[in-house]
Amino acid sequence: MKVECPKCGAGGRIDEARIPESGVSLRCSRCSERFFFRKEAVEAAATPADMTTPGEPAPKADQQICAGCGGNNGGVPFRTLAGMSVCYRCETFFRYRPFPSWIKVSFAALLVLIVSSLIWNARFIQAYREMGKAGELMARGDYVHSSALLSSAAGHVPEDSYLQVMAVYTEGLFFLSQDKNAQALKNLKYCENKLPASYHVDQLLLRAEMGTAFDSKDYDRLLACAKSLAAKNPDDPFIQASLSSAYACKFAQTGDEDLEKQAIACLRQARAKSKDDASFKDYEQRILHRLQSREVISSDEFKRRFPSGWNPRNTL
Amino acid sequence: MFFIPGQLIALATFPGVIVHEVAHMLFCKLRGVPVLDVCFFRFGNPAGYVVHAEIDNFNTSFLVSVGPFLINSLLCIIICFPAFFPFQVFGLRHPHSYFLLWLGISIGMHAFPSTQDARVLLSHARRAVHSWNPLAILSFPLVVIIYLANILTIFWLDYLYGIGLGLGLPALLL
Repeated sequence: MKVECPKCGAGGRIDEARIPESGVSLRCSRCSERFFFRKEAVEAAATPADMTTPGEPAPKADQQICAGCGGNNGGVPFRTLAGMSVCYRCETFFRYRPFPSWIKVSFAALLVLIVSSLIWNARFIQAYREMGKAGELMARGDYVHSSALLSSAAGHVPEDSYLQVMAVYTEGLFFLSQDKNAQALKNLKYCENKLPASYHVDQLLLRAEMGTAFDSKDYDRLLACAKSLAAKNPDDPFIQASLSSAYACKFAQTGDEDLEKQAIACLRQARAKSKDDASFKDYEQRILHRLQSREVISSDEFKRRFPSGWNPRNTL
Repeated sequence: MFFIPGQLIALATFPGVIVHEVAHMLFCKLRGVPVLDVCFFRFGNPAGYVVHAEIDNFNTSFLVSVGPFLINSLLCIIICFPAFFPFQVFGLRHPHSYFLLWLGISIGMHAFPSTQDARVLLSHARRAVHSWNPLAILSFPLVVIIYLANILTIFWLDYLYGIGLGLGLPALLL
């Protein structure tokens, strides 16, 4: 049996026995068009107008005109589809109506746009993930990894100035936790007036300045910074103790007994607020050692000299 | 409250109209429903349409009616997602992000089936509910939602839905 592609008109032959009554779906080997083929439709199309069975009523005129293409079937009624008489070619078209080429091209372009946008913006997704992880680590006090992750995130999104400042800030916290005060001071000065007040950049700057003053044995500056910090945090036992520490340094340097008294007074206030914190006791020991020995040593040196703690001659 | 003629909104968000009609036609083709006529976009009311043969299967009717809701919503999320991070997380206003958001939200805006779709769905659901088809039962509240959503478009619900899907959903999930 002869078959013709409704799209490109390419002809071919098919074994009639292989076509079921309900029809068969075929694909054109030339243009790859899928179409539906039924014997009945071909037979109807092939039946001349004068070959209608005698005695049968003549079909209505509108049933002989295809509602799709307007083609006339020469007296033979077309099959109906959705209440319309349509020719075989139009019926196939309605059943397998293809999407227009511009729709296919548009959707291909949309797909390309989505994929390329995901690739293009992957750096933002990466930065977002790193920021989340950095936040978790910072909450646990792991400034080393947090700082590294935030620096990496800032590298992914260089146009985000806030993220750049955050990366420098976290690195500053890391330096401060490592007693690298000069580097911390540089970082925190960069962040000054660029972050909200909740980040306490001003107080961290004072701490970094105290550290650099201690390292350079500039105890006047150390005392001035400690006073400023203590005035801002009257209820923080460690900051009050740092004021005592500054007085103790100055006492160790000058031997002025008034300074010793002020150091002891500050330490008493701090201890009252400390709630028996173990790390506070370590700090207290260092201050008392400084007051009794008039020797200023760093925290690391103190730990090295007194690995199992230091006992003062008399307590406060 | 801004009142802008629907035809102008359809013009400004034409990709959504096209995707809506493509989704109708796609589900017609997937379920073997002959498509008699289709208009993907025009400057008129309705802005697009698909004329298909009568459907005698409820599941097919449900899919053809609700198909645009699924396709448009999904595409809205997928298209807006790459723009979400630079725009919402980092506050960067790149033209590329604006384009993606316009495209995604336009498509999301046209996700809701029309009242005509709801009418067809309701008539089929009435017949199918006798056989306790769960989709038919679900269709009744769905039809109410579709009608409400179409009414609330005067309060920009369609626009809010697009923004909610494109920017709100990722913010909620991440």
